[in-house]
Amino acid sequence: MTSKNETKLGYVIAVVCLAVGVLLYGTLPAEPPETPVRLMFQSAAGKVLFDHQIHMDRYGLSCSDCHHADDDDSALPVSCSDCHKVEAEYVPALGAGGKFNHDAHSMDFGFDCADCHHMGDEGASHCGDCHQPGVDDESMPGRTQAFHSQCIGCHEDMGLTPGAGDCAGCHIPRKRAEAFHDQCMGCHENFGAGPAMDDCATCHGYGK
Amino acid sequence: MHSAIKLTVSHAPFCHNGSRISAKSYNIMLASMLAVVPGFYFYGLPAVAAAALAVGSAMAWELVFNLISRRPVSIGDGNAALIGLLAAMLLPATVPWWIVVIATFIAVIIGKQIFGGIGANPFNPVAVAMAILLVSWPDYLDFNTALVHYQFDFEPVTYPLLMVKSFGADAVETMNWMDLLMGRQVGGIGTTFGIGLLIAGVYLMVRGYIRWEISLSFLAGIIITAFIFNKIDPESYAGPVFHIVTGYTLIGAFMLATEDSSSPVNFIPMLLYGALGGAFTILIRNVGLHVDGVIFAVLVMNMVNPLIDKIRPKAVGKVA
Repeated sequence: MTSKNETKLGYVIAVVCLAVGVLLYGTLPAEPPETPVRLMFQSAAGKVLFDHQIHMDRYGLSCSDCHHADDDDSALPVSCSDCHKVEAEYVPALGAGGKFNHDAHSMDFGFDCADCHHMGDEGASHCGDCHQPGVDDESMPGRTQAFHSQCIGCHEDMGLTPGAGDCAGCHIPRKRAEAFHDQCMGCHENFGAGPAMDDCATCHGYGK
Repeated sequence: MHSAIKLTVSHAPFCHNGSRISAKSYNIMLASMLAVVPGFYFYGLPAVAAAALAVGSAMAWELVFNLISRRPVSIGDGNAALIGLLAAMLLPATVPWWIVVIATFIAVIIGKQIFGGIGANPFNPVAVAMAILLVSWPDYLDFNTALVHYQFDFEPVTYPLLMVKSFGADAVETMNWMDLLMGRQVGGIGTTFGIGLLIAGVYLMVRGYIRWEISLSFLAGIIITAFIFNKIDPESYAGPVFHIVTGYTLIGAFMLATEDSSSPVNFIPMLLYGALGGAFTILIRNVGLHVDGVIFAVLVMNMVNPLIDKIRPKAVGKVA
């Protein structure tokens, strides 16, 4: 092939390749699939590669096993980090900084103490003395369940919001790392499957 | 009397396989298709888009530089197209278009043309581009992140070299070397189908388009160094076969380390260049910061290439 013909061939290859490349980049969908296959979470401790599809297909988990249940089942789960911010501070619904307003409930809404509190129980000055965190049994619900039943039960009886499923109505969402750690490792521990709490690198080993 | 005419020449010896540069470029491109076409099959249209844009933009950059520097148009020699194709082969299929364009700009303009064009570049242009991309935009070149939306029929769906680096050799025990060779692994568009790269390499060596001394000694360097590491600590370091069939090893041995102007031309220097390149690759993989060491090993060897190429028999006789 002569040098002139080589150059002509070069022009043809360049134009065709550029056209194909630009056309394909312009037309290929930029949006990720509706249901993720895998997810790569960026984290200060190292990236975490989560196989969403295997958790769904092989372990038979439903959406609500990991995502907050939504009244509208057809709605797609929102991104976790929409609520669970990286730098968020966890604030309980009750107590300093919490969204629960005790004065409004007692004075403005006209509740008596006995509407919410056990009255006359000897030796119990705090709810947590009996309703202990993380301890649930048939005779004595744990603290989380007791508060949830109390608050949500009353709200639902009166048709008020926030109700069940509207976590952010009462709680400021936990910071992202805490929410993820509890979600992933809580489930792993329940099923006796690793990695667990003391095995950081197995999840966070996918690069910086 | 000395003549006033001065000729500028590079040092001997010179190699010529009897064919034109364009024949060499297009032969290497065609051979590479044995690995690229399976890549298109694995990764679909995004891989075609990246490869086409890489070849097209590399040739466009070459043409732009030809016009700006008022030199003859050189896209006919196919070297720019080859650079574009090799760059695309190393990239993940979902790489953004602007990374592709930057990669070919760095390879063609910074890696080749500013040194004087083909034959004058001291470093492999593709390796220069990839090194800059790896340092500047590592997230876009992270195969695990880039390919999260792909469904594959093999497990684990993770980049093998990262697995062994992060979790040790036990983590890749389930990976069968034949599966890896057949492309059942996560990687670049043209780097996962090892069988294709092997056939391409043999073809190019037999036809004389690449030097077998460099390719085979590069693979030998990988095998020997990986073997030593594996014998010392088999739990942490994978064996030589794993290193041969993963990452950029095969494309590095046949298409990157063998680039003409950045590699030696003498026999012993070629063996040394290849073997040390392979050894450096394993050193970087096993004890270095980067997951794959091929790109940086090739660049390091490019750097010492002029020195290594001085190792040759002394000329007989005495020069006055």
